[in-house]
Amino acid sequence: MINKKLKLLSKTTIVYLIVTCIVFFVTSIFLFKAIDNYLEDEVEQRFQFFEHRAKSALHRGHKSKINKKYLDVTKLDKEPDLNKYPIYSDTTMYDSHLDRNSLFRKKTVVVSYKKDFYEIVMATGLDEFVLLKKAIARILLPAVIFLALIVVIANFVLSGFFLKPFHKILELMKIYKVGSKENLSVVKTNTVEFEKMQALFLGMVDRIEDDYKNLKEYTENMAHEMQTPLAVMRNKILDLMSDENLDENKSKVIKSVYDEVNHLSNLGKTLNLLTKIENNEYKNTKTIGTKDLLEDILNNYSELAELKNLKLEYHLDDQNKMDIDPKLFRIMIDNLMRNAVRYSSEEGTINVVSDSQSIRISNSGEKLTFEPEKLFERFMSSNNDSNSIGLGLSIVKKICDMNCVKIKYEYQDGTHIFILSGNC
Amino acid sequence: MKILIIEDNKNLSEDIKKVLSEEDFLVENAFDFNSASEKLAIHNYDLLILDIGLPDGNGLDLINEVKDKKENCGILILSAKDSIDDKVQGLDFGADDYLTKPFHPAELVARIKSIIRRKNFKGNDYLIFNEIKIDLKSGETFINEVDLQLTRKEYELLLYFLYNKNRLLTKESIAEHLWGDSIDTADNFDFIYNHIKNLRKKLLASGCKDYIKSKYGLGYKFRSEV
Repeated sequence: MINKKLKLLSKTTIVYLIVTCIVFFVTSIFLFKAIDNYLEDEVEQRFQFFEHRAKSALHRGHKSKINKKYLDVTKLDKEPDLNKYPIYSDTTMYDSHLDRNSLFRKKTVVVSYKKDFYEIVMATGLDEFVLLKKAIARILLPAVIFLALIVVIANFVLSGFFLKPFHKILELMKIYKVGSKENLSVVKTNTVEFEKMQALFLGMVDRIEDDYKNLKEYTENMAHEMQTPLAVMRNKILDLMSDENLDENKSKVIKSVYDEVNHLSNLGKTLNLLTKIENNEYKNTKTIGTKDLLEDILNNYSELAELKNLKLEYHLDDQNKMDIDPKLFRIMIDNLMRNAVRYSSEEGTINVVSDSQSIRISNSGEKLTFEPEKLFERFMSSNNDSNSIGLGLSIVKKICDMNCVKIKYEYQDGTHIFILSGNC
Repeated sequence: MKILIIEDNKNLSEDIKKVLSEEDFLVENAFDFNSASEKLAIHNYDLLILDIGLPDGNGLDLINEVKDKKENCGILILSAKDSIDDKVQGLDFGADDYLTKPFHPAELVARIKSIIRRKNFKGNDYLIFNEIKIDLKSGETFINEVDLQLTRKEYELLLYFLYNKNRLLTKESIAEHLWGDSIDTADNFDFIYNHIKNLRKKLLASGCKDYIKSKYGLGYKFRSEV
């Protein structure tokens, strides 16, 4: 029970049943003890009544009037050992009323009367008491089982009702995404524990949102505010580069500074773009036929492909549609094409095929040097090419995620394949 | 040709001033909204270079001020915000062009010359330099009055050089001019080299002098004197 995962309800029910069994067992013991005591008293009273009758009959000398069957008085010849009495014994005797053998209790006592000793043997039926005990037991057990059953069923039925807010809160926790606090509604509950849980959850969300906002603001500000200083730096470097008296060694140094400044500037721009996509600033989402857009983008790349001796082939279906902001679609395809051109093997082929379901962009090239799962991570680049910013595919992934587009990467027979399939 | 630069970053403003002065423009700076407004009230400018995000006001409001005074004043907007809304809004307000920071000085010069040309040379759309003549309207190039066939990119490249004579054009600047933001600039060095090689070959073959020189891998320069 400790290792096995159980629902809270099942646990409480099991514990409840065990407790019920124990309580039932203990109470039964007490109950039967009490019944026994009562019966003993009852039997004893009868015996005392018999004894009294026997004694008064002896006094009056009417020994013959005593019922022989249940009360028998015998005169003893010698003085008996008084310590032995009274003697109790249970026995089966024929009951003339019921016309069958039944259980009787016998009590034997000795009384002295006028220097003579008399032994009195009394008997009384026990059957009625045994029947009473049996009847009580017969009622008690079903009553307890019935009670337990009712409680268990009520537990199941009611807990569905009581736990409803709990499940609602869980559902809210499940669907909560960072940055979407507005979508969280408050579940009404008058259960203190659930209220506590909800308050904690909402407090946590507030903290997360705060941290997220700070982080985002930091990225945004960094990316924005560094552009102007970078522009100034670049212009100054350009001034140095334009110097007519510059020798080759110095120009190499200056060039590398210039390259790094450009890299930083591009990095800022790209991070900005990522933030904008995350902030949902591209809102012009509509169903677009992708064929014309794709054709337009691919035309831009045909020249680049040609200069790199790559073959660019495409076959587009005008049935292919996607729900997305056209600008985002362009950014997404641009990044995938840029990636394809960059990592294509020399004199390789880039293939773009669309059908009614999906768009496939593939290029020949060497196998990845890292696990494909990391492909869409930021700053993942296979050849440590310092020219590459390393954000292209994470932008693609972000756009896909934000627009419910599925993207899949495969490597087959020396070809990298990216498959975009429609809105999920 | 008088130009007013309205830009709150003094360093950047001075840089722009220097670059434009080299191109024989008369240049003045204003570092905030109020001084810009004052200068616009007193002087007549042919072109404004305007940063939208000024510390004491929205640069877009200055567009109205200047348009009230001088209808055909050219306006080029600068912004650190690469926001499409800003771009559209700026152009709606009557700006002629839009440039996002950081930009290449050569790009700025080309844009400005292009604006000025559009404003002032109505009906006369020829750009002439020695033996080179470009019909800006039809996009045709002539060397010594003989038609020279150039691809679209080669034509744009030649125009970029002519707008930036004697200025060092880095490969990054050329890449961005030809392909815009859509392509990582660093990717295109080979492509640029190829384009320039092809352009030079065509120019030389048609009897044009060899104006385009490379400089230690830093970039290229179109020299007005060979």
